[in-house]
Amino acid sequence: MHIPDGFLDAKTWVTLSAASAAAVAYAARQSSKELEERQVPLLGVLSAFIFAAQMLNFPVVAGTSGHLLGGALAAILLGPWTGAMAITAVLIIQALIFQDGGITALGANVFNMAVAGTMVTFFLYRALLRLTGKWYLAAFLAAWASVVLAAGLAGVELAISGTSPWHLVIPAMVGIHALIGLGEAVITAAVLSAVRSLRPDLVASGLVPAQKEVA
Amino acid sequence: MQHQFFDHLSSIPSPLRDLDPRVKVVALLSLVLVVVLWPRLTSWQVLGYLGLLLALARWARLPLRPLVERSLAVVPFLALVAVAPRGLQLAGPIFARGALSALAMVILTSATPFPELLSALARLGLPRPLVLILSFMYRYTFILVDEAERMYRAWQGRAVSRQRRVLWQSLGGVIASLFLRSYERGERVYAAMAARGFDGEIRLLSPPKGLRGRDLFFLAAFAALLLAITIAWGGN
Repeated sequence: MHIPDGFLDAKTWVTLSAASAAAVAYAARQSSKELEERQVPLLGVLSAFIFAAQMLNFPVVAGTSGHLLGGALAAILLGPWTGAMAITAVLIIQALIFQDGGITALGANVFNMAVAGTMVTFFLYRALLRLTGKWYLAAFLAAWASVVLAAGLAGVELAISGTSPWHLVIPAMVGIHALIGLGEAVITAAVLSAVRSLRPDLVASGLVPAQKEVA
Repeated sequence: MQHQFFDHLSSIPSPLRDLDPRVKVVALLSLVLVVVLWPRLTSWQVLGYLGLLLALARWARLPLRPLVERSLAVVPFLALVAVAPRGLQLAGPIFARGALSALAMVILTSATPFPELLSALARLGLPRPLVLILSFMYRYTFILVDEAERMYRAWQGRAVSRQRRVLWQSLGGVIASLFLRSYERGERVYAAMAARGFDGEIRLLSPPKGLRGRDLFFLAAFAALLLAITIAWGGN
């Protein structure tokens, strides 16, 4: 769902670039409060982790495969601001080095996957946690929603740009990603569960928030 | 996506590689902007930009094949456009824009070692926290991708379930170990850097150089050609 150059019209990508730049600047400030000077090496390594984790394919349906996007995982493990910074760094590398997403579309891709897929997903996760009281269920639903939300937004942006008609692009993007999102949801919940049992101190230090409600 | 090819082409010596990275960034990004923003691209313009980029690639002694392969990364996305009624007419210009922009970016990143590219982006105004994160990410991606590949291969060897859910969950365990190893590595790196006096500031051994005559000459020549193609073959 990395939108290439040329698929969005100027008003769409310029607006989204401005929105993403503001959101990332805010996230950078908040994240430096969360992690202090440690943030630089740690965030770099964790961005590299997200990048590496995205390379691992899992089977979806009949020979097709998907891979982790990691937005929800980054948000829940690292917090909304640090998580969004890590995802943004990954998206910049993918656009610059791998032509996975265009350079003028970078703002849109950051908006879909780092702002909506990570920051917004974090607050969704917290709301779901309060609502259901079960962190596993909350993480599952938030991870699924983050993928579908990011894909849906990409569809909306393509439709607004007149690149692809609404009645076609929205069902196509949302439909495929509703399925891929199930894999994302199961994996995200499994990762969180394993981290909780292997390094409970990372949970206690606030990386998986609302530990009291979890216990 | 192959990590060992992160910027492997940038080791090819060439006149383009030796230019100041800032002029390369400005030149190629302005081509991308023109291609994306020009309201109606004519076929002559598309051929002109393509010729300009291919000449640049040749000057940089870059092999053609990887450039073309990566520029065609936009093709799967075109399916969303082409299946619509009258979508085929739309798909042509969108493909041209996407592929030309991608080609420009491949040339930029293939003819510029990544650390130089980052320093150029930093001096052109990319926020410092992002620059620092990206420079660490560049160093550790190689290590973590290697690690991820080893773990993935081992997982493939033992993941024999026919149930998707079981496979997904066991892959979750692999990713959790990868996360913990990464996190612990990050902590060790920070501790080692703190022991050497790291205070959040990165200091470079060799201060960046200023622009030279040939950098400015390249920028002027590129801008002139870009302008000539855009205006002379613009059609409207």
